[in-house]
Parts: sequence; C-alpha cells; structure tokens
Amino acid sequence: MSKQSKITIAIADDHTIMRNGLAELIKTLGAYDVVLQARNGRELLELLQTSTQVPDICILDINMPELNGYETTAQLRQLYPAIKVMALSMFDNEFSIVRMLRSGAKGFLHKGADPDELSNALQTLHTEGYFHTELMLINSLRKSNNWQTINITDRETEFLKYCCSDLSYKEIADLMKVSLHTVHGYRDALFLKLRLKSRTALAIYALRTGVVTD
Amino acid sequence: MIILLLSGCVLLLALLLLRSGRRRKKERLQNQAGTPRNNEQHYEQELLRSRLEVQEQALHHVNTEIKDNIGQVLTGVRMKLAALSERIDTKEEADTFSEVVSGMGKSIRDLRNLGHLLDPATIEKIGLLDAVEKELAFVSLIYHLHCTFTYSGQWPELKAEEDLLLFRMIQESVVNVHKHAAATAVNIHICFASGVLSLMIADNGRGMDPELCRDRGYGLQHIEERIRLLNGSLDIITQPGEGTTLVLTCKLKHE
Repeated sequence: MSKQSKITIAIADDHTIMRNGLAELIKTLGAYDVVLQARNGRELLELLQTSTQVPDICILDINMPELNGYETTAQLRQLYPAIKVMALSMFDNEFSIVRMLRSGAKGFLHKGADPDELSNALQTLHTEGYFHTELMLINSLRKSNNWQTINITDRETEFLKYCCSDLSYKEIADLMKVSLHTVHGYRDALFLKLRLKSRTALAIYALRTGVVTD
Repeated sequence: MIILLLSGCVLLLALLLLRSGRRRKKERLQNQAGTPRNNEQHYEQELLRSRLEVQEQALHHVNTEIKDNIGQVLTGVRMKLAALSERIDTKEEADTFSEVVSGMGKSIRDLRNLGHLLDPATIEKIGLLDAVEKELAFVSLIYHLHCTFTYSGQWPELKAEEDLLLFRMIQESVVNVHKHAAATAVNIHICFASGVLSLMIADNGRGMDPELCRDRGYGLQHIEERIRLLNGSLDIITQPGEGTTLVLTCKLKHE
C-alpha cells in the first residue's frame, strides 16, 4: 500500500502513555497513518489549523482538560464535517458514549480493544461511516428489513429521545414522571422489538433512523 | 485615680459577664441532662453518619484515581504490549504475550467495575435498583455466585442517602456470603408496602448456629450500623446446613 492511500488518523488524549500505546497499536495494523497527536481537544484544533492535511478519522478521549470530547466533536463537525470522530472511552460508560454520539461522533472504541477489534472498528468507520459492535451485527443479520416498519409507541419514542443523553434510567423516569419499573419496561420492549441489547445501540438506532435529530 | 476606678468597673463587668455565662452554660447542661438517652443516641448517629460520609468520600477518591490515573496507565501499557506482541516471531512467545495482554485486560475491566460500584456518585446517579443489578452482575462474574434480584410493591421515592445506605448493606451482605457462606447462590428481594421497606438476602450456603451469630464479625457490624441510621432492624434466620437469610426492615418517613 502506498503512503497516499493510507487512512490518516489523529488522536487526542491527555494521557501520554495511552496516546502512545494507541498510536503504536494502530501502526502495527499497517493500513493507517497516525498524523497528529494532541493532549486535548484545544490542542487538536490548533494542530488542525496549521496542518496541511485533514485526517480521515479523529479518535477522541471523552474526559480531557481544556476542551473535552463532547465540545471537540461538536466543533469538528462544524469546522471539518468530513472528519469521522471515533469516541475513545476508558470503559464503556454508556452515558458518556451516548452523549458523544449525540455530539456527532460516528462510533466508539473502548480502550481495552485488541488489535483485531481496533482494526475492524477503524475499517468499518472508514467505509460505512458508522461503527458500533452491536449494530454492525444486526445490520449484517437483516439488511433487507426496514426498521421504519417496526411499531414503536409514542411513549417509547419519547423514551428513545431521552436515551440519547447522559441521563440515567432513574433520571429519565423522573423526567417522564413514571416509575423506574416502567422505564425498564420501555427499555426491554424496545430491546425485544429492535433486537438490541444495550442503551448505546438504542441511541444509535434513534440517531440513524431519525427518531432523534442531531 | 480615675483610671483605677474605671479599670475596677471593667473588672466587675467582666466578672459579672463571666458568671452569667457560666450560669447559662450550666442551665444548658441541665436541659440536656433532661433527655440524656436521646441526646446520646443523636450524638452517636451523627458520629456514625459523618464517619460513613468520610468513608464514602474516600471511595469516590479511589474511583477517580482508578478512572483517571491507574486505569489509563494500565490501559496504555496494555496497548503497548499488544503492539509489541505483533512483532513476535515464535509461537511460544506469542502465546505467552497474548496471555499477558488478555490477563491485563481482564484486570483492568474488573478494576473498573469495582471502582464504579464503590463510587457513591454512581449510586446516586443510577439509583438503588439499577445499582443492585450492576453489582450482582459483577459479583456473578467475579465470585461465581448465582445471583437473583427481585422487587415488589410500589417503589418509593428514596433519598440519595437512603439509596446509598441500602446499597452498601446489600454490597456488604453479598461479600459476606462470598467470604463465609460457601454458597453457590444468593437471592435478594426488596419489598415495599405501607411505608415499610424490607430487604431480604438469602443464600444457600452452610448456615450457622444462631447462637454464634451474636458474636458478629465486621461485615454484620457494618450492616447493623447502617440499618440503625435508617432506624430499622436486622434479623438473621439461619441453621447449620440450611443457608442464611438476613432480613432488614425499616420504616421510611416519606411516601
């Protein structure tokens, strides 16, 4: 593969060892070039301003000083709409991942990913424009099925909207003025209807089908 | 002369003030002595409450360190190792390396789950029920205990402090089951009816002599302390060979 055809990547993370480790791991995959490394969102934006090339993918940590993952993603979407943002999360904390997706991230990667997962995530994000493990699985299982035809009630739709935030189920229950039990009911019904298993997958579903607009 | 007179007056005034101050203090003391038990209890509860608060702050600090520091460094190191392992030629070495990398990955995940569930901020955000579910998922994984969790009745609006106290009691109980009961399963049930909340933690372990459980270990002491803060009670139903059931009941002041 020639240098030009490599997929270019920028990484922003405030933990040096984490950033270096990830860059090294990406290097071993062969098809990628890490072109920028920044300690936080602000530094990344500054580097992009002076850089001659715009990377294909930005991998962003969520908790960063100066400019955090959410704000950086929102600014990147405005300034460089072609860049695909991959949220990098220490652990898959569903609340913050969902908020990153809402801000414009197209996928997420947990820091515990092994080289195969990492490679798959970057490749899929680059070609499909979206990456989420669970959703990928469903997509391949039933590509022909139209999701719009699945019957979702108004309350479930309202619940889906709240899912695309960093609210906990308890907080959603308070906002919808129902018990936590009822909220669990909406969740389980949607899991069953959409054959999904996680809150993050629900949020991606909502964002992709337009139930929730960015 | 005038100065002497003035200073004498000042001295007298000071003495008077001092005496009246003492008298007031004495009266205050006498008033307090009127309800000594109540005051003592109140004082003990406040002491306990602030001790638990300090503990919770420390746990929050531990989780922050895991999340922002230790976990990040370990994850970075793990990635570097994974990158290194890609450059290894012999199969034997590659196998060893992949064991190291996956072992580190597992420890990082466990560390994370542990920190997350220890953090009072998590419990406050997600509430008691979701916290218990997460805790039991973690316990099943780590201790290989089969856990079931059910609840019934109209779920009351609990204060953050109550959520936390109840959660800590469940956490402590499950650790107790793991440490002492030699059980394979634990069943937790919470029910709420007419202002009374009861929490049952039942295991299928070796049980104990009911006489012996009077001599309580730290685990049970911690549970008792917390139930006292909720003005509730703890009962232990157990027989050798027949498992142990803890029953915690408390009356909640609000609906």
